[in-house]
Amino acid sequence: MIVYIARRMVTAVLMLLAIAFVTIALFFGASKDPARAMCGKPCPPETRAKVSAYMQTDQSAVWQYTEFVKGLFVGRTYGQGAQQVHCNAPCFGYSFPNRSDVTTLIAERLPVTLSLAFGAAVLCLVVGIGLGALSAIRKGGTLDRFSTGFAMFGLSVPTFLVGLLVVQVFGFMLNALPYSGFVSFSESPANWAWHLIGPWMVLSFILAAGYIRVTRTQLLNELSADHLVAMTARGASTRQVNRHAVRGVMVPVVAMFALDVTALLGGSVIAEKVFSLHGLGDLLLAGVNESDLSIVVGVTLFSAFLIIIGNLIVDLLMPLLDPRIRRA
Amino acid sequence: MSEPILEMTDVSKRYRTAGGFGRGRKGFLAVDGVSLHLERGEALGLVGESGSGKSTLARMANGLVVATSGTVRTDGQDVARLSRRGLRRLRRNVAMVFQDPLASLNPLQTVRQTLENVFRAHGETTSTAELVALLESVGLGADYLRRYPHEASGGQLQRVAVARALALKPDLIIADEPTSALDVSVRAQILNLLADLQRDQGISFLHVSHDLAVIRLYSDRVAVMQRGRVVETGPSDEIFRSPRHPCTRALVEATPEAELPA
Amino acid sequence: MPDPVLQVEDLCVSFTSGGVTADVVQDLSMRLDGGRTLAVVGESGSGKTITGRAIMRLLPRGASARGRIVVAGRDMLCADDRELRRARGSDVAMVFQDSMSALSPYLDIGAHIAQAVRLHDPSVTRRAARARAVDMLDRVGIPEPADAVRRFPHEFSGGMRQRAVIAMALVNRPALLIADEPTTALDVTVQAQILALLRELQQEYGMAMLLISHDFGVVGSAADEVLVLYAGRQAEYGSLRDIFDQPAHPYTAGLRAATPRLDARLDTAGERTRLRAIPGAPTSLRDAGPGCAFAPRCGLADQVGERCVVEAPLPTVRPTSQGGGPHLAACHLDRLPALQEVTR
Repeated sequence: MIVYIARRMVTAVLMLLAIAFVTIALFFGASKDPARAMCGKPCPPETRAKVSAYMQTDQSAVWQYTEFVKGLFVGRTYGQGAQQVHCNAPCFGYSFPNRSDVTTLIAERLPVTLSLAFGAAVLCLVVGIGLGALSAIRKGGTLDRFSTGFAMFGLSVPTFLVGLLVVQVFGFMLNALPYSGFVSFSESPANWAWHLIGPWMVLSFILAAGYIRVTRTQLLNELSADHLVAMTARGASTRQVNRHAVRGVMVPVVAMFALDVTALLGGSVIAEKVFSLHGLGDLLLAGVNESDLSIVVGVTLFSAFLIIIGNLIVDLLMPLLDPRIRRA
Repeated sequence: MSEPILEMTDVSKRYRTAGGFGRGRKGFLAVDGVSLHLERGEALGLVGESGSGKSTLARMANGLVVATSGTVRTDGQDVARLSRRGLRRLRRNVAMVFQDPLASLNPLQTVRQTLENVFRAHGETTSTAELVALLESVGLGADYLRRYPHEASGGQLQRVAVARALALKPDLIIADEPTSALDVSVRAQILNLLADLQRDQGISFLHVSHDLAVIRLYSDRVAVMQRGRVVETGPSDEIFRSPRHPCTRALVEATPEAELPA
Repeated sequence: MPDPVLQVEDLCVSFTSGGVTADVVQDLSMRLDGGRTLAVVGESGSGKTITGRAIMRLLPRGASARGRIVVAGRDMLCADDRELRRARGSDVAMVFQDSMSALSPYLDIGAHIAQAVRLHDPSVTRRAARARAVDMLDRVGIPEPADAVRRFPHEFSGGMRQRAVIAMALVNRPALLIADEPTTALDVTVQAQILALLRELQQEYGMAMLLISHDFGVVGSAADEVLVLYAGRQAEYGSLRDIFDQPAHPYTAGLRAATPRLDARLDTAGERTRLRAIPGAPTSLRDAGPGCAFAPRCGLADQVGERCVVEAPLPTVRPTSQGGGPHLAACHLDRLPALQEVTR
């Protein structure tokens, strides 16, 4: 078991290092020079070179990479003298257009993304598992047909369309919900929730589809499984059998949920855009538009970090749910 | 006397166990120093309990499993030394019939496609008349050519599997539990079919089964396997009348007889 | 005569799908006393498994049973949910073919057995129930039972797992045990051990056993009476001796002739004896016509003629050996000729 955990941990760290490298390499290969955007117009070559040197983008990808990794642990200093800026550890890079280190930018945006992810996750679990379970228990019924269709729709419709529809219908037509903005939880919990209902609905609608399907098929498999027939044969009631069947459903649902939640935490670009929320997704988009290498690498790596942590949690949780993994 | 169709000398197979730090690095010895031979036209039965290594051993005959040590000579050729092409040529001469016909046939292909693919795989063409003759040799009508696997019963499918094995006129057929997935009343049909092929076409058989009664009836000689070793071998009548090795004796005694004491 | 542990009268099981209802089992009757074993023999489509399930009212969705099933004095088809729950696992228990899928992968063996105990007697504490589990595992011959209760199903060998399933079924001392192909997935030596264990426990507890099997070898070494099913109908019913020594149905005779035997001898010409195969493949009741379902495969149907095709034969009384119970066969022929003619 300790070997198992240790192995997963090592894999996770290696994955992160690899992702950072790929992100930096890709950005260098594909995009325009970040220094070009900073030096303004007109931009004589010598100024540009100076800016580039100051931003340390004139170095090779490998050098950038090692500096970046070093920065994560000991912080990083750009420039010299009066122009010197220091970025404290853990340093995800420094955004020159924003005159702020990326760690601070992420920390600013995180509450919005967290709030969004939290509510969407809860809502999609309740709706997804609930509808999936009910439609499995009453297979072929009206509810089953409704939720299967619902799931189909959710899986095939793009997020922005659902987002725009929600804004249009609830925000403008019915005037029932705010269509943009964010109020922090500490300020007013009620207002916080009120402003987020729209994006929650959109995100959970898209996500719930997967949970409906997984829960339904998995529960159907479980319910006809021999060991549950055997349990009935021992004299268990339908309710006891159903309760036991849930266990078999939990394994894939937990796996899926951990990945979804961490993906949500990395920011949902489209939902944030549609509802004008300034979360991580929005930050990443801005970074890409402004050729801000530091933001792109920082946010990407932070998201990757979350996803890998999520994977790690699943890997560690699975043995608790399924003894076969524990003793393998 | 001609050379045996199959000759195995001191053959072993060691499987590496997955993910082993330290413990179990030695792996699992599935076959442990087995020597046996199969004459042309003969039917050799391999019996043993699950995990005794009988299937692994049988699969070494056509190189599906590569021996860790020892030599396997099939049809006069050292299987380990064959090139990829030589191995293909060998396999056209050594056909296989598996336990579960439904699993061993592609559900998306008709019987005709299944059979044609065998010819195509060895760069040959075939005619409908040939295919019909092939089906008839296993007791199926021409109408089966158009059927898909789900449109036939287990026994009929196993006949198709036998037809597929016969397509390229092999000298040796490896039959791995060919009847254990079939109904009792159908089992006898397939066993008789295989026995006829041995008698009429002189095909050699390596017949793997856990069922002693089946082996007794349909094999000339028997090799009894236990934990990767052949513990006893000899003519099937002798082995089952007077088993010498305790393992064989245990198997014989445990086999329930469909007969009441008088 | 004491009341039988199991009495089945005119049992029909039908499946409904897409608005169409079709019988898969028709007019089955049987009677089984405590301490006795009735073997239900059949091939695929014979309805033997569904019959076993019907007795426990464990039918899959869309299936329903008619007729009368009485287990230990309780009418199973009239019983409500609560009564059924009380009967299942306590009056009548079941052992499945595949011990791996019959056990929950998420529970250890002790939890399975303890659950069976506590479902029928909630007053038993968890600790006491697990202690019962240890005793029961010991009783079915699992070594180091105190350690074994904490193990999970996948950590057992097939034979040991089947012993655990038997322990689970018998922990409440049922009057009737339904064993559905209990040894089919096992090696012969293990099969012999499991059959011996079942026999021993049966004698000790005095329970009745319904043994569902396709294998005449298993039947011969375990059964007192035999019910041969073909396509959901009773082909033949009788004592083991009657079924083996004087079969009255061509299917029974053919099935026996098609079963390979270890004591087979070389025939006079020195050639190996061949099995007598029954042509064709087994059918189910749904695919059978109005006549005898076995007629298309029967070597004797020509002797009877038209009648086999148009009229399904009803079970009629046949001669029995001394001390044998009723012997019934559903065949238009009164007397079976020598075996050579039965199978083509």
